[in-house]
Amino acid sequence: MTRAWRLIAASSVLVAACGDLQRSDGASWSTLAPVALDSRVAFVDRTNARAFLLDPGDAALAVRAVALTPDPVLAARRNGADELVVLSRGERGGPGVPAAPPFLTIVPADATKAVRTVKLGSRFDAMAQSPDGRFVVASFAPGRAPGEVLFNPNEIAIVDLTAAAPVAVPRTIRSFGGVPTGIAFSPAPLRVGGRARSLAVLFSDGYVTLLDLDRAAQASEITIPLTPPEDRRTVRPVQVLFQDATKDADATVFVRTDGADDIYALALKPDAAPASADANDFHPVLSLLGAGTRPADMALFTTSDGASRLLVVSPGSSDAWVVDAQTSRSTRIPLDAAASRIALFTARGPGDTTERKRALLLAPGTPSRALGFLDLDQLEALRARNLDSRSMGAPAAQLLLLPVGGRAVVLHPAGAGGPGISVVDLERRTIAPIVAGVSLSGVVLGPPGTDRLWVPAAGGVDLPFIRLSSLETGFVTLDAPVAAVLPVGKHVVVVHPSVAGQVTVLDANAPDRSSAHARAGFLLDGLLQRGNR
Amino acid sequence: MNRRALMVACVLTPVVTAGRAHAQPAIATTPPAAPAPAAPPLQVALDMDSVWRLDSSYRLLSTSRTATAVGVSLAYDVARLGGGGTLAATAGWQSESAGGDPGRGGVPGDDGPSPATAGTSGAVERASFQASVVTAGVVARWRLTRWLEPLARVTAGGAWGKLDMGLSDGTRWIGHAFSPQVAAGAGLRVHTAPSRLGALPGQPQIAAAAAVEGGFIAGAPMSFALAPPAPAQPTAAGPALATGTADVGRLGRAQPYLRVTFALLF
Repeated sequence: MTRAWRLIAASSVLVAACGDLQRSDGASWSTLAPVALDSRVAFVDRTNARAFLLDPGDAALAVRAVALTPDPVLAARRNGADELVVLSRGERGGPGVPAAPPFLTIVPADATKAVRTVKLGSRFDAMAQSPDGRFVVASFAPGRAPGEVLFNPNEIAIVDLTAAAPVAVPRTIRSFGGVPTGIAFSPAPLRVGGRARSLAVLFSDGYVTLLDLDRAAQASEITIPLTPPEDRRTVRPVQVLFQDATKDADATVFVRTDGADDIYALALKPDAAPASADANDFHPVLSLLGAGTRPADMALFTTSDGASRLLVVSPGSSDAWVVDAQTSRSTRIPLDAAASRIALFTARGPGDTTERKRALLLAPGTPSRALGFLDLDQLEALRARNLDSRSMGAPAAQLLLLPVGGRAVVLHPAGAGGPGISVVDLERRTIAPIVAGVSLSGVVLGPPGTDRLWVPAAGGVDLPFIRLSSLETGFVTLDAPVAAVLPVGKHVVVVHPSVAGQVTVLDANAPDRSSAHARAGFLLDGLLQRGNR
Repeated sequence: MNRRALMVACVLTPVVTAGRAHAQPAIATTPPAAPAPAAPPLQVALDMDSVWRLDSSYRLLSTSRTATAVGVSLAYDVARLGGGGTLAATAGWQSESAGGDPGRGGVPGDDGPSPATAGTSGAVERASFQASVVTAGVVARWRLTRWLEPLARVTAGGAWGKLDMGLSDGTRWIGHAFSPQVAAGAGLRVHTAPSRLGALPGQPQIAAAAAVEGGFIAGAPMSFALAPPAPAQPTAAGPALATGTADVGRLGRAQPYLRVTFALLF
């Protein structure tokens, strides 16, 4: 070591010893809502920019900490993958605070796989992902000031996570003075002009924007106004459905709005030759479909002869409507009570041994106790004769359609002593009330392969459950109140409201204290070293 | 001749000289200068240490890099070294503490997550660290003048630490850790001339001393695993489920020190 290096080393020690310590910025933390992955539960510490992945299959409930880029604002499971997707806004920078770019971070649950990051161009604070998890669109959330000096609310970034080296493709969406309020993706690639493509529909007040995600870097977006320029109504898109092309019809996008009674149908017509390199190879043709007054929900179904129909419920007129988008013909189905929610299911019916597409109609959040079973076969001909109404013991607050077993569960508004939930047998059309001695805060279906339904109580340490096969009830007494219940793998992870992080992991098939594991304090892991430089 | 023999010689010389006065005529000579009396061999000291935290991890506890430790120590001269040196064995105990309200951090310009994505928010409202340090070692002193002695110290021992954190939800998390350590330092000691306590049997000598010493403590980091609080109330279902500990990290124990000692010598 030369004399100069000795002097530098000695000076460094002296400087380190003499200067005061910076106040710890790791002494406080705020987490995002826990995220259930396929095999892990992820907790994201927003303040300290790190994710904690807890393995419920490990008896010691090992936690892996993963560093993130600064200011993570959103975290979600990547659709179709055992991965966590985190949107970080980075650091804007300032006096004494170095700037850090925003990133999208993909954290695999498997610790042997590398964490991937995609640099973003702007400090977005909203994201949406396609149902297959291939595309992520980052954007600015409407109505929120993200703390920027200037930002373009119509800027978005599109990321294809299946690319070998994913990059963010920046776009500014054409605007008629509005900003994006929501994004919907086609659930499966739509066939338009012989090519399957993934579409995104961006909602804005008064218009929607179509994006061909497969050509995000080349093709321009298509903007469709929902009202003529002289129309001063505020028409806000709220729901979109995608109908793939058939041999008789083009692929169609249906848009339901708040503020208009019509359903907007956008038939996607293929173009033989795009006019320019950035032009799309299809164009939409808009038509309006009448569907009663103030449509509140819609669903697509296929009739027995293969034709597509749109079922719309309109609580403003207590009707349901069946709409043929090809002919724009609407058929009114009078309901016994107004409905605002449609849940499609396939089941046999009373006296009908054939499994057919049917619909469950109800009005959550209203005083209505009605539950309607609507047979969709020959509905336009038989109309109200296809409707079978039942009455529940209490109004509905939440509906959960179970993927197997031919059952649905209706959660009733909080209130101890009355029906807490109703288990609906979709085939027999029976409604079994389950009385709750406590106020229930939600309904959570156990992991696939289990037959338990978890109904956490508000504030209590008892976690009730129902065996769906027998409707037998039970509960597990925990050591702390329940904040969230997450099905993960073969386990049910109960998150407690501890600021240090506390979970109890139950065997989803045999929930019992004797087989339960608990872990507390994992949000404190590494606390002393946080922010050390 | 060692110092103890020298002291005995000094005390006995006048007696021997008085006994011979009757046998021989007195010879006029210049009397030799009497050597300064050595300091008593036993030191009981009050030590006050200032340590400089080189590890930034202490910032959760305090924004000051300096911390004060107080303790007591004993030292006893066990051997004479050449050149006026003395070797003493020493042992000591010290108490060190740090803590306070670390305050709340946060993201600059943070407007919080949207309600749909909000989880929990927490903070360390109060944090304290206490350590008891026990050491043993040797001190070498050299007599420069009758009252000034440079010294060098080498010790080894261990520190038992306790970290106590109170969180914003009112829970208290506590953990303990041990850190072996060695330390080396050098300084100066001054002392008064010894006086005899005539009222006590044997008329023991006593002196006062003070020392200033600087050095470096090389200790292993303390790794803390904090235990969560017990459930507020036992459930009828049985004992609380074991929840493990929170591995909050390490506090470094490699740090320079400056020691000021006030001592009595017997």
